Amino acid sequence: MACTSAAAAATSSSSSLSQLQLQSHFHGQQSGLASSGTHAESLRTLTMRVNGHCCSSGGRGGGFGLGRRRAFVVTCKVAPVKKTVVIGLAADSGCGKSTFMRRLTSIFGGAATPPRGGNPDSNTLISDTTTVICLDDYHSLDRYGRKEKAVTALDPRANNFDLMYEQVKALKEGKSVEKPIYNHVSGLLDPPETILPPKILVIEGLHPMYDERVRSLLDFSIYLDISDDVKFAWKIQRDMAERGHSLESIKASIRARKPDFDAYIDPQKQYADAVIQVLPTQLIPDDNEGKVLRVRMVMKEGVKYFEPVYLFDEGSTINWIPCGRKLTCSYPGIKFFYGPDTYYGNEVSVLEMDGQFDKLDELIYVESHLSNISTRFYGEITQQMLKHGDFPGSNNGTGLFQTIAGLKIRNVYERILADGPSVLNRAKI
Amino acid sequence: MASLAMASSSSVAVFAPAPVMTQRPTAVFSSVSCVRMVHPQRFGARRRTSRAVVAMAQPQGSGVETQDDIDAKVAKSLEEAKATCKEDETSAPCAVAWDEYEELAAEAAHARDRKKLSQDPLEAYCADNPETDECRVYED
Repeated sequence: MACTSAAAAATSSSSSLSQLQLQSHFHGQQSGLASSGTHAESLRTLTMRVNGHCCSSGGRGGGFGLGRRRAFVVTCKVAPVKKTVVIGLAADSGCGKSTFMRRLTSIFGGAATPPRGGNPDSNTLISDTTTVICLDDYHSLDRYGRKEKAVTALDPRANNFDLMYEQVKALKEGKSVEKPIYNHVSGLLDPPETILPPKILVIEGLHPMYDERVRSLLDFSIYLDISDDVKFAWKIQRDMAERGHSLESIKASIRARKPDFDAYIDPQKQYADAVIQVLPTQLIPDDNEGKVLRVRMVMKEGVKYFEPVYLFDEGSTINWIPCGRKLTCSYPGIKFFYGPDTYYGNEVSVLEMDGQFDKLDELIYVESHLSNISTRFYGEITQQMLKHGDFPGSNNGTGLFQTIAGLKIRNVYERILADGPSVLNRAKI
Repeated sequence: MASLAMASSSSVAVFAPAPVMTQRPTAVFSSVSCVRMVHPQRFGARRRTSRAVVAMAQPQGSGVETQDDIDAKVAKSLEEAKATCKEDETSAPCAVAWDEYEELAAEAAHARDRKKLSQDPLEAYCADNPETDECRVYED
């Protein structure tokens, strides 16, 4: 357990000290500062405040460099979580129900469900460690208001950024908030619900990085960039089974929203720490089914706590086709690219995958060649992908990079916690 | 529909909710709780227990809006969008109309997914927790 290991660390330390800083990574808990008493005492009491569950343990230990036997009594107190890590996700699909969210909450453990006993049309998802907030809840204009003022939901004029900033800040500081609910079915703003500060807060929506103040609160941000062709193909898959929709209407809706999208949503790409771009494949000429995808993960360099994933050698340019003698793949195969680049004036590293996974072997083979993936054990990515084998994108780069992004977020979270209460500001440099 | 019996005194025993029993045309209830009301004994008076079974309904999801309602809304917004954009395809009202259509179509798709999952609670649970014992799948 966290306490006994920390106590052992305390007792084995032989340097003379007046303060001990103990670190524990058990489920992301952090331990506070421990201060010992003054010198000439035969009994020292070490009081440690450890977040989370903890049993009290007594330890006996060698001297602190003074050659005398001392007994240490370690008592643990359960303290509330004081640190909330905020992650921003910019995506155009509805809130909180996207595959990315489900993969992310699965990595942290436990299933995310809407708040029990509350408004059944709530967009919020809550699991043990994570709370996912949909930014549509901060619409200042409901559907009828927007029709009246002739603004789309993509327009910042339809959103209350002051309230968004205020509430995300409050949650980050550990205070509960009363967050409004935007009911997607009725198009109206419902009475607010109470949100308790979680360990990890994910804000998902169209404008997580639009407002500068909200941007400064984010510890890590991701932008999901779907190209128009792929968007079109996905919407066809989603809607064509139902009566009433047609190719023209789907094309028209994408085209009509594009000006606002390009003006307000797209520029957020430059602020994201990681951009996941989904493009049509280059392996099949003239493919317009959108089944095989080329997915690129553009990772910003120099972000605190975040090391980009790389292939073989960091900083070089690599083109890699894993299929060959050791691995046989079926058509169209798999192709990887890795290299440095600039993106909107920032230094980035790009990892790209084109093609599809057909079998388990391919997945584990690819995973074994990627570096800096922040897995806890060998095969964790494969395990996560298989665990959600029925999710869309589980056989191509979308699932792979979403899983990697989730592991990176977990890594950022653990490292922020490990830094302890001394790090009060956001993680970015 | 649900009805509450009048009771003047307090002691109430609440039983565990039973699964869905009937499908009503207007609303779907996810669970029905039964409440038994018992009058406590008054001094000297003959003991009289009156029991009234009270059914309390807990609406499931957006109880008022069914799948058909949402689909009807989507169809209506599609008509509106086509009509608005007939005059000018680049105007703001046209964009707003298509935006509304997109929002409703997304919500309809989510409602369909929710409905699929809600039909079998085990499926819903296993979708998110495939590693638990109940959800393990063995292939030989």
